[in-house]
Amino acid sequence: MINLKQIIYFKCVILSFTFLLHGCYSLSFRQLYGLNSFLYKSFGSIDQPSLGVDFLGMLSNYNGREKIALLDLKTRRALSLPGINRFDFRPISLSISADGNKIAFITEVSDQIKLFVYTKKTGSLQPLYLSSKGIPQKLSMDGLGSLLAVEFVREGRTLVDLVKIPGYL
Amino acid sequence: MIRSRLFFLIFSSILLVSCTSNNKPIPRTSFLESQADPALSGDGKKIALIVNRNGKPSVQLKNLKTGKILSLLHLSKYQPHSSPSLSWNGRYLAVIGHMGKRKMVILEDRMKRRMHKLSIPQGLIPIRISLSPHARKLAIQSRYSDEDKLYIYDLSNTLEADSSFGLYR
Repeated sequence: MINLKQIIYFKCVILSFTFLLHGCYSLSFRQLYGLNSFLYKSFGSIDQPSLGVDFLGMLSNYNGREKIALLDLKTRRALSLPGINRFDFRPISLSISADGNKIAFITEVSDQIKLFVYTKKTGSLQPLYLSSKGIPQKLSMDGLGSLLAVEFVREGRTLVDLVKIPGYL
Repeated sequence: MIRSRLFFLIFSSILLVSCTSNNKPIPRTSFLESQADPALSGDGKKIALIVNRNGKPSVQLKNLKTGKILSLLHLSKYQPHSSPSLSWNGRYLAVIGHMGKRKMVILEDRMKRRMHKLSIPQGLIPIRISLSPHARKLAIQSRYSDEDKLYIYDLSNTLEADSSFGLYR
């Protein structure tokens, strides 16, 4: 016969197991409400987020037009990027380096899809060319700003190419 | 006769070598077929890609130097996957997955062999995510009523930082 003490003991064991499993698999992450509210108020609709250590790169929609923006997350200040948002650019995808100094992006320009790397320190805009023929769609840059992985479409197939960024020592 | 043929051979091979060594603006590092949505680790040593596995888009992690596929313990049951993102050393892999019809953000800690599910508010549909190189922050682009908003989560109370000095390979 099982007595009341044993029932309570079993219940305690089951409860502690449930608690342990819950702790392992659904840890709660804290939403940064202040920052998120600031982002919505300042940038509106945001596409293609790319996080560096202290920077956030993104495409923000100004009056129906996508623009490249870089935000310093510590100061909540949008950084000036002279020459990156040309009137003929329609950016599609972007990725930033860990220190936020390099921004790689794919843009539509003059009915063509092109790939560029922008260096914040020098304000220079460098075009890059894929060694394979195809239309670039998405990209990812490593933290050092030395390597790009580019998704592109060729003859209806989606492929990925790796491209070294020139000028990296 | 033999001398003239020999001279012609040497001359043509010199010409061939000089022609092929020019015009290499960006060396292609490798070529990966039938793969999409690339995400490089911060150190540029690993790549996460979406591949087609049994008709379902699934995340695959690769060591770029060896080409070896690295094991992921928890993610296969949350297919289809999209928008992978890696921390600096590739210790953490975040991806959008599915639980039934519901989209969710999942994060695998490869060092501790543990998985974290991120509970996001009901009604929000995650579109793209970005994990910061040191795994302190996670950005989630979510769609709600045809509008894309960005939500940034703080992971610092829940996860150990991914070091940039090669603690994990």
